[in-house]
Amino acid sequence: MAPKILIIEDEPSLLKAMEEALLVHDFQVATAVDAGRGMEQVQEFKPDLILLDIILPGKNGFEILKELKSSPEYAKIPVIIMSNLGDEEEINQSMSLGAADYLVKAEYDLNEIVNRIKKYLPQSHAGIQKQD
Amino acid sequence: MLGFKSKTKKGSSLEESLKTDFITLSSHQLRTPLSAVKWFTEIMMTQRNGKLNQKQLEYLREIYRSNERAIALVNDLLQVSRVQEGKLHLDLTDVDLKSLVDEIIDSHRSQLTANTISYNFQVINGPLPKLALDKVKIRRVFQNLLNNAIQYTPRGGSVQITLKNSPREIVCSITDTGVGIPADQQSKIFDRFYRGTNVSKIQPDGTGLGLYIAKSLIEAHRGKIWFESTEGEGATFYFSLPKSGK
Repeated sequence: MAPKILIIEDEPSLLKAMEEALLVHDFQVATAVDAGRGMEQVQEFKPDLILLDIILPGKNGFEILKELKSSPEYAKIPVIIMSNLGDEEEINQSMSLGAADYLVKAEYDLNEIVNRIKKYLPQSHAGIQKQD
Repeated sequence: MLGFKSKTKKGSSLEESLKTDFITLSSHQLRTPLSAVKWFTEIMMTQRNGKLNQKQLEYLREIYRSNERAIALVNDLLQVSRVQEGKLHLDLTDVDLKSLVDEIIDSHRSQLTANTISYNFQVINGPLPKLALDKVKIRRVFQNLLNNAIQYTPRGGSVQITLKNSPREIVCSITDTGVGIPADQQSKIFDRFYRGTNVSKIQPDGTGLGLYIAKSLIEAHRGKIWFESTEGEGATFYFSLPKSGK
């Protein structure tokens, strides 16, 4: 079964590009533009991995990450922070809150992001399609 | 706003602080549309949504390259603003410099081959001890110096990279047989936004920030950076990294 990726991102153009790249690689994709919808999707869609922006309307990415990692049910879902903030402060804060990785969006091609996602997918999805 | 500090560095003027904050703020904001251009250009170049003709592909590659330059400029401006704000934080880990240089040469191999530039890497007085360094930042310095050496060396030239172990420090040097630095410009090349007149003709897209950033990053490691050059005969850039760490 194709791995399920949830993208929480409020910028429509970036959301669209990421969604297309993931669908092409046969992932199942759900999207959310804010924390409220994001947490609903965590419950309903049960993602294998989450791509999470930091600056979001309402609760920010750090707060969502904290909530996820303090939940026994969701703590094990790998979360990759995808932000255009790139100071050490944000990176360190994300990693200490339990993020699997931190990617500055402008510095990564979509293919590189897809490969990074594959790296952090749970073992049950190891060995999935390795394209490009 | 997350991640932005309005703290004024002691001794700097309010005007300077506002200028730096503006650069930090606008740089972060600029990265979002630049990411969108990057990703949609990438998607179009895959031709998954329809086949493109050669001209269309060529123009897309131009858009992609220009956008990459804009991203690099934004990154440089951010780095400069961090230096000015005194926000340069080092994430120190034990780094094997020889492996790091091997890795960097590897990533430049196709560029060296394409420009028919021969290269040599030598370790003097090895094996080298690991040093407590910020690997990302030292990699950036190496890449910057190696890129310059390759860009400003004519086809058929050579680049020599050396790591020299001495009791108190490791000195890295990158020597090229390129255009060199005119004597009257040598005192300015580490200045912000300064570009030598001869290199501007070869590489018009440079920002004049690379060496300024390299100097800041090496000095943050309590090291030194310097060079020797004769116009028309090439240049050697050196930087030292002390063994005592930060």
